[in-house]
Amino acid sequence: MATLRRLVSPYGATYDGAVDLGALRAAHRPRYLERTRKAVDGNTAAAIPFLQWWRSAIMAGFPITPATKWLEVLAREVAAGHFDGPAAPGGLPSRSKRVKLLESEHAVADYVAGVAAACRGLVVGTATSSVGLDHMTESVRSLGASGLGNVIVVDVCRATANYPLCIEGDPSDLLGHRDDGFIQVMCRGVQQIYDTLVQLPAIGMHPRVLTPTMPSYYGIKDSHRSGTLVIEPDDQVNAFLDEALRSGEGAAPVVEDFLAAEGAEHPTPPGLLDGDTALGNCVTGDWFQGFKLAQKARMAATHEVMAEVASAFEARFGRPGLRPLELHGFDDQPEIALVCMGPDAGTAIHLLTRMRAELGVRVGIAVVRLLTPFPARALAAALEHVAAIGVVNNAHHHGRGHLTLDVEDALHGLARTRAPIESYFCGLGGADVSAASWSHMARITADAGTHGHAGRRWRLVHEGIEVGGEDLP
Amino acid sequence: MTRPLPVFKDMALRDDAFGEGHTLCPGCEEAVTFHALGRATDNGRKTVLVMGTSCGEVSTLAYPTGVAWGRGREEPEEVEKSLGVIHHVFESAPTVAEAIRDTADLLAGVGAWTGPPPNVLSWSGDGGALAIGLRSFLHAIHRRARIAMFVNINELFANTGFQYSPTAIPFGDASTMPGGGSAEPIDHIGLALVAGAGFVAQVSPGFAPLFAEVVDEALRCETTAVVFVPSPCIAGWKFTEGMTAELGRLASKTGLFPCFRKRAGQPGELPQLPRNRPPVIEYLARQQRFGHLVALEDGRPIIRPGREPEVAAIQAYADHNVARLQQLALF
Repeated sequence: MATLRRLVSPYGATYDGAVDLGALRAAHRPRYLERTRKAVDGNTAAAIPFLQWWRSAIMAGFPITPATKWLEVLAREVAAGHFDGPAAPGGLPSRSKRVKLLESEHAVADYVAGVAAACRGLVVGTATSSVGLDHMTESVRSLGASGLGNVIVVDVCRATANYPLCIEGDPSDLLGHRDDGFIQVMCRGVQQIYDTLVQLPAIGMHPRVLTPTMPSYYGIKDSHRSGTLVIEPDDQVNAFLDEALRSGEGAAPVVEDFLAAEGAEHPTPPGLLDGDTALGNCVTGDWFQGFKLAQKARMAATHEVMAEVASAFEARFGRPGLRPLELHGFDDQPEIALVCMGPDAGTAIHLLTRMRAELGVRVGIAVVRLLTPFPARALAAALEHVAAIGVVNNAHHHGRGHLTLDVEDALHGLARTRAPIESYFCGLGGADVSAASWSHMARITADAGTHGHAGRRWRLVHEGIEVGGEDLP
Repeated sequence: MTRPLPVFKDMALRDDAFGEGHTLCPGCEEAVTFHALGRATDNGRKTVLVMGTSCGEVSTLAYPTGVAWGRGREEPEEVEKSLGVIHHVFESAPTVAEAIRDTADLLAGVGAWTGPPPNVLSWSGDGGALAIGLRSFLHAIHRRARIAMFVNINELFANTGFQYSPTAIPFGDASTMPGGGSAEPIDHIGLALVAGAGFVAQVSPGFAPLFAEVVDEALRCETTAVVFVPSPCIAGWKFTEGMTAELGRLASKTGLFPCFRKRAGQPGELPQLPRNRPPVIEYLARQQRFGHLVALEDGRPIIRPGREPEVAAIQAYADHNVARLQQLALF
């Protein structure tokens, strides 16, 4: 094959022409030729982009409730021959997509690392949940630092594995992996799941970011709930990603990258198949810190790149792009705010007018979409003028709650507000977060605003009743 | 008519992909193995090497000055000469390698990769492949991954300080099992065969021509090739400098780690196995890890008083190990 060596300092060399991605693009068999409306569940919505991207040649997986259908959808579509090309004489048809079944989630994570490192122009993904994600931990934590932004691990949130086992959705798994190094985004509803998937590789693979992504949605409540999904045509989905990646080429690093040679652009490192390069080397502590500095800078670039990608998405598709926060009831400067995430936020938004009327207080709802890197500045700006904040945690935590700590950190030093924070646990293990619970939490938060301090360190709320909590000292 | 060079000599003329910069112990067998792999992969195909965490990995792939991999001092002009090397966690090398080969095959199927199929090699320690990584090792074979798997067997977790490994022959001293234990080594060859490997071999680079043949065949295997490389560890076994290759050969000749070669569906063989095998004490007495059982006295191996049962047990293991492998080679 005719190739041209191109030095990519300091990573080694890339051999242009060794991998002809144009041939892969040409081999893609579009699954959706025009904008299509379809009733699907969350797992299907998360699978469809992998069918549409020409870059997604290999998907890998191992079944686990409630994520299994993601894998089944892909396997069925590929087996049906939708991606078969012409057969070689006497041979099987060439296939532009393949589903790989591994023997465990750990192997799946290893496998996606291999595909992603082999060819950095591909998008490779899997979906898992709970202990499946935990079983991937060793490899996922490596991936988080790898610079392989073409990896997508869809986490279908599920509670604990045992003591007791609970297969319903709460984000314990996702929040246990906050420091793995992935960009973590929470979705709710099929359209948000699909749209988020369509946008994430444009962020993760951006040369300034080069960080794997972990889109997530709650098991059962969103994985198994059907809704109407607008599916964009394959050519538009692919053009969106291709253009986003082209616009990122040659982007300057966010901060001085100790790895980049002086005056160099910020290149995507070579892949293993089309490059002469080494990946995953050992380092001593002195050098390790430099690698971590670069990793942190890439992660931080997410905020800026996400804004660019979201704007491009809105311009092309006419729907809201991926933003770090959803703010509801913030147009008239809310007096109190409830900070939450996941599908139960939809209930709160639906009840917003009623809660305001019941309490006689302007209530705002801040729904967190981007969990890592946490949008601290955006949240601090949004909450700067409220009198009290209620944070709704859906996952068990030894203290006041994962989300509460993030909100506290966001406000500390970034906002002038001294607004008290009431911390709630509600919906653990996928339990219902009912209208009565939302009303109770809004009322307690309003009381904190009136008194100028929180009433308790944390409260566990179920069906509008406070069933547990810890008093202040 | 000119006769083709034997594989061993042909390889000697090729460009090596393993060079200076490594920090392997002086006298380590792995360096010899790596040079053989480095030359064997100069075969007109792109090469990707996947290294599971192991002493071989940490000693050859350290940033910024200790990367010993690469053909030539600069990146070669031709992609076929180039080397992509990746380290991933202990047990993962076969699976990562499988993914890379699958990617190349899929790209080739749609015309996006037009070169010959790449050499994709995985390198694991015996701990990485046969202890923590037995699952991934067996399942990669079971899926018929089109890769060449190399497993370095030094009977210890050398990377982490010479702890017990399930490949250890009985009663060898280990930091986590002082004096060793009575368990016999895991049947790694049998496991690879029953999992469905297309080619299974065990050979030390101490048998240099045979080793070159085996590596060459592994790289040409259409399905999964598994090569176990018994590898004397000078730091862990504590033997006299200069004995590395000789101990590798003795491990084979005594029957403890005999050379073995078998292609799926064909009878195999135990090459280089002498009709009259030397007793295991010849091998044990030259390693300090067995110093509690045996010693050299005026250059002759002796059994320490009272330790005859342990030495007899090791000899018995060597005897039935040979018989067992001969049985495996029949089918």
